[in-house]
Amino acid sequence: MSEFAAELRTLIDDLVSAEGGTAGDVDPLRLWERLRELGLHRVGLPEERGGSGGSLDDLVVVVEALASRGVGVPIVETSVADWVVGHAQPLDDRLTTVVLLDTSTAPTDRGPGLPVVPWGRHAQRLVLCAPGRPAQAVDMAGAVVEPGENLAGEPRDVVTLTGATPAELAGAPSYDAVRQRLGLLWSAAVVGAAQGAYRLTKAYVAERRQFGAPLLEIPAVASGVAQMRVGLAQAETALALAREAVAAEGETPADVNVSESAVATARIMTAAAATDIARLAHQLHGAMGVTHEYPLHHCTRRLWAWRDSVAAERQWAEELGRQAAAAGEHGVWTRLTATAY
Amino acid sequence: MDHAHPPTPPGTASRRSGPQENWLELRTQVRRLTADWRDAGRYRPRSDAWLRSFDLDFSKELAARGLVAMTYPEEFGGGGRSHVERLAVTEELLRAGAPVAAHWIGDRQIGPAVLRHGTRELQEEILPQISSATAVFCLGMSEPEAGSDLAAVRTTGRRVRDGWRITGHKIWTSHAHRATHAYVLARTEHAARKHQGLTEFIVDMQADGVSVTPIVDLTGEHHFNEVRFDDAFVPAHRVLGRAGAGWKQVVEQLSFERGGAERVLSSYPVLVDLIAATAEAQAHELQGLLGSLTARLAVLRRMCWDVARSLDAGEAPVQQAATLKYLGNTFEHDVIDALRSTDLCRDAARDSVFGQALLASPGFGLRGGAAEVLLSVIAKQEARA
Ligand SMILES: Cc1cc2nc3c(=O)[nH]c(=O)nc-3n(C[C@H](O)[C@H](O)[C@H](O)COP(=O)(O)OP(=O)(O)OC[C@H]3O[C@@H](n4cnc5c(N)ncnc54)[C@H](O)[C@@H]3O)c2cc1C
Repeated sequence: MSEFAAELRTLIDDLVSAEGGTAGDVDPLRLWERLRELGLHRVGLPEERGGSGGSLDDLVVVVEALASRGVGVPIVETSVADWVVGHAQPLDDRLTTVVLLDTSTAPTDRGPGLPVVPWGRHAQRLVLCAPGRPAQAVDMAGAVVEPGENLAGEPRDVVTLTGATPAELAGAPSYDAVRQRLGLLWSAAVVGAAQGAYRLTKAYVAERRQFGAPLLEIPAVASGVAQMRVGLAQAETALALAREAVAAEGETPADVNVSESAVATARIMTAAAATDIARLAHQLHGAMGVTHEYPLHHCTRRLWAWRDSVAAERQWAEELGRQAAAAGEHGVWTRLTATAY
Repeated sequence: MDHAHPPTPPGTASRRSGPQENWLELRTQVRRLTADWRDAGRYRPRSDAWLRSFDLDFSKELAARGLVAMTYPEEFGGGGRSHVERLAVTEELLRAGAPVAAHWIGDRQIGPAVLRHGTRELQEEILPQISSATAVFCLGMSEPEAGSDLAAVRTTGRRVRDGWRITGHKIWTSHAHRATHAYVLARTEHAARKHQGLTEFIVDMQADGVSVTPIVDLTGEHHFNEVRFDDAFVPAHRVLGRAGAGWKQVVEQLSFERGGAERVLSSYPVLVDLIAATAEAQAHELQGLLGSLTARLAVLRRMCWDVARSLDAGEAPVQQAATLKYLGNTFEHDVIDALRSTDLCRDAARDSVFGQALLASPGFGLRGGAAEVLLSVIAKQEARA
């Protein structure tokens, strides 16, 4: 990890602390404003297109660091939407979000055809990506927004586009490339939230005493902590692999296939870790972890919400499994050993 | 020949060095060699071959090609290569299910321990023998009363003129019946703390007072043994490292023992069958299972690489290696279990791919440190962090 990455991490930690420290006290929209003022929402986008510069790796760090404090801001959605738009035109100040449409839905479809839109009520523009079609952008002015929330209480709104017609974004990345960037960033978000849940749990079992000693001294508890740690290690390693694969392949749509399996791997591994870590974190916290006041749920609800974003863990696994079966053992091994440790 | 920098394989030239190093040349060499031996009927691939398939000729063949002792300095017959390069070779050998048991233990952990702690004299004596696969090592750590609690060993080393006398009883000693040398952990002092006063020895299996009795495992195979030392003489120069400092050294040795690809690939032949079965059945359930397993394999391989890099940096990545072994063993079990979603498990023969793997599997999470103990190592480290 670069020196810049360490600085970014500290910067974000300080920002979150200044906004109240624990996720419960942080107003996500205020924090988002602060991030925008500092240009952190557009890290990983080239300056000449209106971005803040830095690499995709740096953006991964930003996403992970925010998530590890249990805060939810529209960083994944807007940074990907801006990335798509930035290929076609310079970025303006509008808050832009993105949705992926499955094959059956034409990007021009309106109303019920549109999946829930993340942060729809705050968005001024929406990017629509569908397989085999150029990405489109549509102005949200005049759209009818029916608020909804995901498991973590983050805006996931039902949007009906009434007035504006979606316009094609010339030169925008392919659907697959967008899906991959989302997959990578959601993997980073899950790793962050898992780190947060782990940190809280580790501290809690060291402090909370039962039977005259800290919980951590009970072997079964220590074993639970270790299982969280190894799950986290696995997820972090998967994220590192995906980051490197995506960086090595560049960001042009033509190279996307090569890093595809690394991103699928990261989604599968982070999702699996999310499941185990959320379960163990709650188990080891006892009733305290179930309260609204104690901050654990800011991490665990996000783990549940984010682990299956973009596509369910199972779906990524089936995709990877289909590829593996088609490639045969020889193909699987060659691919595994040719590109990456 | 300069082994340190093999030509960059085609297609990787533009890549950053680091994680992308794939050592294609080494991999190709191993693939050819194993294919030749297999096609000539000289071995049958099987699960858990690194423990169960013992073929000294094959080990010697590997040694002759510089594929044993790869990380040792050239002056001791080694290859002067990195652990990362060695990993490329061990991965390919394990993938091929090749008969590597004869040199595995010596190559993996005894040589490195001798390099790190041994005297020059000991290095000159032992390392060339490992490098040529003439020395076969067994590990005398466990005892009837010292399993997970390794520091409880009761085997004693008593100082005598010119050396030591060893008395004690080791158990589960893999390949002791074929070994030329034993690594032995023994108590040489009764210290206040049990982690003090332990010493590591290298003992000749031919020495007077050393006897081996077989233990047959649940498959009917004989790979491990009991070894008794009855006042067996060990010359002074065969102490490994500092007398009394054995504990610190053996813990370090465990990073070599636990941190390799054999902790991930013991059931690899089953994965091969699973891939074929999934291609045939095209069922979503199998695809999902296979996808998850290949994702895990990709990550575990990276963890092996991280350990190898730490070893190259001269570190002893104790926690990393424990993490890898714990996760890798779980993977090995899950691969076997996944095959139960196909028909290949029904009435499986004991020597089928499935049968061999399943019957070997209870040992995966025990040898080299039981799973629960690895978790407690990790938890302790975390509590300190
Ligand atoms: C195939 C095979 C090959 C082997 N080869 C060798 C060899 O070549 N040389 C050698 O020296 N040894 C060898 N071993 C022995 C191996 O190292 C031991 O089996 C291992 O260290 C565990 O010791 P044990 O079997 O006595 O189990 P025990 O220590 O009796 O443990 C039994 C159970 O209790 C659990 N347990 C024990 N202590 C704790 C604790 N503190 N916290 C939580 N759970 C605990 C263990 O996890 C395990 O589940 C081999 C074993 C196998 C299976």
